Amino acid sequence: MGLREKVDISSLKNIAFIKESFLDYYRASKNAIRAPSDISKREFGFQTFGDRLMVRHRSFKSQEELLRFIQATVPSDCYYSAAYYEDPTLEMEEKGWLGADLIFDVDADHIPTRCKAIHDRWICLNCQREGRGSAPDRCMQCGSQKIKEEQWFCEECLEAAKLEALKLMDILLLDFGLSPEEIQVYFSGHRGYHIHVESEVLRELDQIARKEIVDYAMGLGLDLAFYGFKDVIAFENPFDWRRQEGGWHRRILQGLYDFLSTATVDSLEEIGIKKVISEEIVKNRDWILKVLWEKGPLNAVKGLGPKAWEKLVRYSIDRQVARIDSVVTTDIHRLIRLPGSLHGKTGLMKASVERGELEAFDPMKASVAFQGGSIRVYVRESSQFRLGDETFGPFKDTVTELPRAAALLIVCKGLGDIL
Amino acid sequence: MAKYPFTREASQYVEGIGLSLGDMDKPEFAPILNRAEERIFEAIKSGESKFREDLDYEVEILSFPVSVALVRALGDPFLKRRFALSEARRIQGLLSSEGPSKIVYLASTALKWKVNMKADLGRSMEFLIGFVDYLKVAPSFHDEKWKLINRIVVEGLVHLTKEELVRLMTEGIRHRFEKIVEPKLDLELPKSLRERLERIGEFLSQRKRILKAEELPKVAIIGSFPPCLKVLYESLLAGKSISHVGRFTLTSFLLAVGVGSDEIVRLFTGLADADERITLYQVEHIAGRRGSRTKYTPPSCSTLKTHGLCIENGSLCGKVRHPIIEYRRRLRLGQKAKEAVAEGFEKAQGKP
Repeated sequence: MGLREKVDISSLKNIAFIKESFLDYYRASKNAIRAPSDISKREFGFQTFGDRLMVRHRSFKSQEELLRFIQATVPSDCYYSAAYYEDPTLEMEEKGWLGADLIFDVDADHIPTRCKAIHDRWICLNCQREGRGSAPDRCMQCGSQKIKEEQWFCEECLEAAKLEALKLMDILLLDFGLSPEEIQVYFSGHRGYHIHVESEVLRELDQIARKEIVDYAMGLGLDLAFYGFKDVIAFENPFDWRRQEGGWHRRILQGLYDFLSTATVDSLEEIGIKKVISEEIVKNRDWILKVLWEKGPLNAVKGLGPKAWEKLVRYSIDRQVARIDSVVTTDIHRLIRLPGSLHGKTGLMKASVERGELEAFDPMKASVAFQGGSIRVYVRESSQFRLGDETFGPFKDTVTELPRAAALLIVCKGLGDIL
Repeated sequence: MAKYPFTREASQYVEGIGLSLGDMDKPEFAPILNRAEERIFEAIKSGESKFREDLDYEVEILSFPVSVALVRALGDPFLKRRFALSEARRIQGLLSSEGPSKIVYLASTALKWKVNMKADLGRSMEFLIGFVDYLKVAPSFHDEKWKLINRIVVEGLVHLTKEELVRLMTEGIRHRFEKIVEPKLDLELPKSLRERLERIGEFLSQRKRILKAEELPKVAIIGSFPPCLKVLYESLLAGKSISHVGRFTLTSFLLAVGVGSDEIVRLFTGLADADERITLYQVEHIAGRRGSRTKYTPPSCSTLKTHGLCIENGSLCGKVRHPIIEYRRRLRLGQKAKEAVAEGFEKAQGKP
């Protein structure tokens, strides 16, 4: 299996191949990386190949200086701080925090997708037990926490992450009124998207304020009492939404409308509504939608009581929350991947998404850093994957010739060796 | 200006007059000093200074910077917080009776907040505030209604009622005042001020002694409180706002260690921020005398951890699962209980 870790000739060859490729990439263009604004106030961090050390507290004056450093050291991963510091090279307490960009991380890790059970695997480093799907916190056989995960990323994962990013964008633009110019979206080069918000007024937000923004986006702490459900008994006129112009009020209403427009008895039953009521809903669909959109008092719908409504509302909310990694956004000292740099686990680059193009964005095309090439590799095992317009695999115990980007992905992922 | 000493207009006015603290020995300034002293006494006594319409507005304006100087000179952390709270509450009362355009003017000029009236009045949500400004203050309130997700947020603006905006502004002003009184004043004060400073200091320590005597008599040994409860208790004394869970924990704990509900009510109403005030009903409810008649016990350590009230993950405590057990453990350990009491109070009142 592809999960063993040992230092041998093949791993040295693999590292040499990856480093050489990374160096070629960083040498090919002086715009290979995109330095952050106010570069001299940022802390930089780099992960090294081989011993996987994290080098932190570095600072650079310009994009050229930064690129020269990367060319000279060829790190496996490059990071910079969302924060601005008086002196980024000092220890954390002495840096002098001046503010931080608002960063969101949408990672397939945080989104339950069906495909994970197929392509993710883990192995307990203590007892060698293996399993499929996301790794448990502790091995169920020996209780050890030393578990190695092998996460693949497929088109389904990336689509799921994109959907979450789109929902977040909706919230940032409509609810928080941010302008598109302040927001830059990136594909991380692995399993998700990063959304960077650079705005003078947002810089100084503290952790607690950022947590409020996260909770807002994730629908956490939403109390239906403030959305019309003051009391189940006072059900005569629970929804104030018709009078509200937007925010979660609009979103809940919109979500209900969308769901009910196409709901089937099965899909209603799936969210916990009784069969009899589900049938009633489907039968009276048009009337319910009319009531919902125009008139308000929801007890006008016979057979559909407050409990069922609440289930519908909760489901509507659940469909529209943006699943983001809350830790990233609230950590005001966070290091984030440098745009344009290569991801050490894939050899793909952190690629920027043109404004307004997220929906049509193809991460497995935009992030490919190398064209052409033909490299002989041994692949232990790999799911099928696509890079650009070409599809590769699936492979099992195969020697094959691959373009450089595909070979790099296999080797970075630890699924095969350079021959 | 006399009402709102935090405005630019007021400070320009004060600067314009060009008085210095050194001038204060002159007899004609006695009314200003009297009023400044009164403001501080009010803060210590009731935690709310009153607006004196009867006084010459010059006296009202000028007494504010003088009282700030006195608070800074004394440098007592408890007094600083009480003074900021007291002056902010005074302003809350005044703001509540202002019209919408005046409120918007004050919020945008004095606090530099992005605040607007809603175009279509007649609804309950009259005001709009930029979410960034909202988040500077609102997260310190614990009621669910202040959580951003429970507000209407559209195009970067949070919808508010007048009462809510005034509440936010009061909190913003309180923060401002806390900053103003923070730096220690190291000046040779004129005699008239030194005398008053002495009186204030005396009154303050006398007041603290009364508090000490009134609070939690005999039964509760504050020095033996587990760290989480000590922090809650100190926050209460300092007039900081405490979360619902925190208040529930403190109240049920105090009841459990034998403090009477009347005493607890006095403690809460005497010291806590008015809006966060716990009522007799709530205390008695927790005590099981009213409402559901269930007598509540304080939450367990794991519950306290969940709510972020546990201090240093229990590393300061013995291996216990409940704060009451830790309290008893500390009592047993406490040959030094007496000293601990003294220390507990000193700490509670912000002395190093």
